[in-house]
Amino acid sequence: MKITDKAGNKGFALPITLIVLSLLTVLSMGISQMARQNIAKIQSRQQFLQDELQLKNTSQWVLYQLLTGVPDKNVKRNNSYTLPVDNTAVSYNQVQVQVQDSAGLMGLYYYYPKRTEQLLKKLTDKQSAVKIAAQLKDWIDKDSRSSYQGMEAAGYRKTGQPMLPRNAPIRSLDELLELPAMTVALYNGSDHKTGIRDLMLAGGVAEFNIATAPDILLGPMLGITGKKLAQIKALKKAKDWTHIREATARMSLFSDSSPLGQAYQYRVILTLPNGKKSRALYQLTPSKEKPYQQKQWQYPDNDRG
Amino acid sequence: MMRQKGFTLIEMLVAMAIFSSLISVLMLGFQQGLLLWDKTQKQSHIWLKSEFRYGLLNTAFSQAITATNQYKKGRYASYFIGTATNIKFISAAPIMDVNGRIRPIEIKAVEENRKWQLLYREGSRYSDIDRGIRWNKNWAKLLTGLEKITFSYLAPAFPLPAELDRRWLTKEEKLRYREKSTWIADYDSKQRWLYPLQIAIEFTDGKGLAQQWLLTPPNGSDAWSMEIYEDN
Repeated sequence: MKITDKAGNKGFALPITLIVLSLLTVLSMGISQMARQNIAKIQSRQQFLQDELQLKNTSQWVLYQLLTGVPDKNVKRNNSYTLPVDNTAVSYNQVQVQVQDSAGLMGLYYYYPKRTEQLLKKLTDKQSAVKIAAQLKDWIDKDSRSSYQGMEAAGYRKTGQPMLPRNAPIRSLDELLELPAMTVALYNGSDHKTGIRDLMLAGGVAEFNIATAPDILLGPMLGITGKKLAQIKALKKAKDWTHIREATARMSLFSDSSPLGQAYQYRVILTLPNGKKSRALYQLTPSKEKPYQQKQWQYPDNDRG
Repeated sequence: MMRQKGFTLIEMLVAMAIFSSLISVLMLGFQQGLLLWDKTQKQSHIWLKSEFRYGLLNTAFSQAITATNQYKKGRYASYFIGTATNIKFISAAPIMDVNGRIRPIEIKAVEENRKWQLLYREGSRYSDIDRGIRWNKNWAKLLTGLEKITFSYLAPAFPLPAELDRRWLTKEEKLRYREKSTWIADYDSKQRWLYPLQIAIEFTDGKGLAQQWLLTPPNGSDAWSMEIYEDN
C-alpha cells in the first residue's frame, strides 16, 4: 500500500502508526472508564465506612456524657458539658446530636390501648387510630376474642391478610408494620409530621418524664386534656419544674414516681452534614462490667418498611 | 540522469524492521499492562464483592431480633442457632427485603468440587418461630470459590449462681454457664438464653488470602416482655 500526499511524497508508515495509536488510545480510554467505575464503587464503600466511623466516634462522646453526667430534669450535666436529653439538637464536631431519654417516650412494654389510641388520634384519622390500637392489643394477647375494631387469627384469614397475629409480645417496634391498619407513612412520619417510631419504644420504661417528653405525648401519657394539659405544657415550656411538681401532685398524676425522673435508657439520633443518620438505643449499666448495652443500631437510618 | 523517486527495497525492509520492532515493544508493554490491569481488576473485584457482602451481612446482624420468641410448649427464647457451617436467626434488616421488615435468615457454608461457597436465604415475610418458618427454596451465592470456611460464636459469660451445683445440672444447663466469654463452635440461644456477643465467619479466598468477618448483633433487647393494661 502506498499513500501519496499533495507534494508527491509516498509512504505508509505514518498512517499505520496513527491508526495503531488511535486503536491503543481507544482501548486505553475504555480501560480508564472501567477503572473510574471501579474506583467510584470503592470510594462509595469507603465513604459509607468513614461516615459510620464518624457516627460511632460521636456515639462514644455521647455515651461518655451520659455515663459521667448527673441527670437533671431534661439534661445530663457534668463539669464540662450539659447535654440535653429531650431530643433537642446540639452539635458535636459538625455532627447533629439528638438524645432522647426513654422515660420521655411511650414504651409498649406496658401497653395501654386507650392511651395509644389517644396518641394515634393526633397522628392519623380517628378510625385508623382506633383500629391500630385494637389490632395491637389482639396481636399481643393470647386469647382469640377480637376487641372492638380489632382482629384475631380468624379475622386475618377471613379478610385474606398475608399474616397471622403472633399472640405474643412484640419483639421490635418494626413489628407494628405488620398490623393491617398500620401504614409506612404513619410509622415513619415525614419532615412535617412526627412518626410513630419517633414517639414509641418496643419496651421502654415504666416511668414518665414530663421534662423530656415531646408535647404530643403529654396528653395521652398523663391522661389529661383541656386546661390541665395547657397548664402542664406552659410550665414545661417555661422550664418551671417546681410548679410542674406541684401541679402534677394537685392533679394526682404521679402516685409513686417523680414526674421529672430520667430512665437509664437513651435513644440517640446522629446526623452527619451529608445527611447520613444513625439511630441507636443505649442502656446504661454503670454497675456492670460493661458500662452500657447497645440495644439498637440502625445505620443508615432510613425509613422503615 | 533522472532522479529516482520512492524507496529502495533495502530502505523499505529496514523501515519495516524498525517499525515492527517498535510496534512489538509497544504491544508487549500494552499486553503486560493489560495483564496487570486484569489481575488488579480481579483482585479489587474480589475485595469489593467480599466487602459489599460483609456490609450486607453486618447490617442484617446489627439489626438481629434478640427479643424472645414463643416456642411451642410455651417456652420463650430468642432465636439464634449456629453450627460450624450454618446460622439461623431473625433480622429486621434482611438483605432481600426493605429495612424494618422482619424475616428469618439462614446462612450456610457448603463444599462443592473441593471449593466452598457461602450461601444465603431468607424465610418469607410474617414467618417466624411462633407462626412457623417458611424458608425460600432458592439460595443466593454470597461468596464462591473459597478454600475453607468456618463459623464460630463468642458466647457471653454466664457465671454459675452460687446456689447451684454443677454436678446436678442437666447437659443442656451445663452449656449455659461459663465464667468468661468464650469462642465456641455451636450456639443455640434456647440453651444459652442470650444472643452470642459476636459471630465470626472465617474463610480463605481463591487467592489464598485469609479473611475474618466479625459480626455484632445487638447487646440485649428493649422488647423483652410485654404486659397489657386495661385502661378503658
